[in-house]
Amino acid sequence: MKDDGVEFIAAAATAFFASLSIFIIYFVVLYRNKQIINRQEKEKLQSAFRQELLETRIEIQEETLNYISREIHDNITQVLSFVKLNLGLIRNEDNASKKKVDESRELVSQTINDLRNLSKSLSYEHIAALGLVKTLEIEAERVNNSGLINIVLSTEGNVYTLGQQRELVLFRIYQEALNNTLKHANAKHLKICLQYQPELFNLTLEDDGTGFSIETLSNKLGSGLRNMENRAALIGATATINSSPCNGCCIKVKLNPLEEQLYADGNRPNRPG
Amino acid sequence: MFIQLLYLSLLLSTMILGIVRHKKLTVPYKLLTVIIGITFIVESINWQLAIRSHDTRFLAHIMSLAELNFYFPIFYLLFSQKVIKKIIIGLIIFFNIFSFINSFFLQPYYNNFPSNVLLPVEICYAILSLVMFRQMLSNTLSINITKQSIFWYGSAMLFLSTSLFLCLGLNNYFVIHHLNFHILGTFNYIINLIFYTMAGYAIYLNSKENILNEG
Repeated sequence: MKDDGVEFIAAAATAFFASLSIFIIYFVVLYRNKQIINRQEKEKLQSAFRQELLETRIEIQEETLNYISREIHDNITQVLSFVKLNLGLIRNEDNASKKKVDESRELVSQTINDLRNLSKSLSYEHIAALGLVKTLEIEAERVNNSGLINIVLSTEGNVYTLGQQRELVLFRIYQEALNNTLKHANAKHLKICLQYQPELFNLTLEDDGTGFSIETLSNKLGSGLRNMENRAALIGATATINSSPCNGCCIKVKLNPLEEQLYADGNRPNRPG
Repeated sequence: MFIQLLYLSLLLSTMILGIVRHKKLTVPYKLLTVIIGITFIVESINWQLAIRSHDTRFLAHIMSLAELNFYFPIFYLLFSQKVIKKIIIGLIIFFNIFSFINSFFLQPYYNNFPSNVLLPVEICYAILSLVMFRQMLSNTLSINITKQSIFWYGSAMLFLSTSLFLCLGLNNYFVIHHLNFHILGTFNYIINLIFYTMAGYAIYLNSKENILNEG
């Protein structure tokens, strides 16, 4: 056996193959680790990019809403005020015509009021100045006066400020929810509950509408709900949406007010307002 | 006899695989198919001549020249760094000139084996394979490494080039101890079988659609 050199060749080959295999296995492990690190970095970058995109979108949206709000306040309502003044200057002896003019003045007044309220609900500055609770109260009153739906607003715990940006985002979530309720839910009541606990803030929006199955949502409504979730994520909150056919819809936004959030301070450059 | 037939069959089937997939293959793997084809032809002639007791050492000169003119360009195409590409071009030029000088003056082709060329060339292959692994680490792809043709090609080249030194060591040991060379011949065939299986697998995996930085 030894003469044939089989033993030696087997030992040498085993040593050679083993060392080469160890090297290749080591390389494969190293490569896989690098792949994992790269994947994590890529995900991190994508997440940061998504966050940045969302922030930009919201900032652009806020700027647009602010612009519309200013236009309504400074332009349309001013013109309507002139119309109202001009109507007041009309001297008419005819009772029927006088009544018509008075009715028109009344309607113009109402329109001015509605537009002012709408302007306030669109304006970032107004929401920032009044705070979330007060803005929601005004908004609830405005919607209740319209007769479209009955909003019941309740507050629990000691109210504290969540930061201008967070409150603005929460208000926009409310607006999106209200919009969906009015458009699709056919609801009579909308309950808004704000719970202020020391380490937890809860916003609950619950309607008694037709409800829907989340799996069979249309793209438009689905994107609206996703938008709410994305907005909530932006301020470090979590939005959960529960609904089923005939059981209304309940949106809960949970937020830890003590958690540090870049978007909460309202000091970001290029912020709206 | 059996192992020789097995070796030639493997070469032939790898060559056929390369021809069948030639439209999907990238240039380096097309070159790899060609050199495997050349190896098949040379090895078949070598086998026939050996049966007829002819000296086949001149074939080793042809083979070494053919290999360096294919394996170096394959490496050239697989590397992305310009410096390494330039070094490879330099190596090709140098080894072609050196092969010519060696085959006619230093180790004449009619009665010598071209070890003067083969040894440095194999060292270069081993170094290039390791540098290629380094390149792979710096340009990590998302696909599984075992599904990457470049990994199999690099591993095959590293295996073949390093095993040559093992064979030389064994050769010396066999000469000193007057052992039967038949077993060493079989061992050489096994190494070649492993190398061409890995090369064939690289050809099988390679396709233009998922090359990314494979060259």
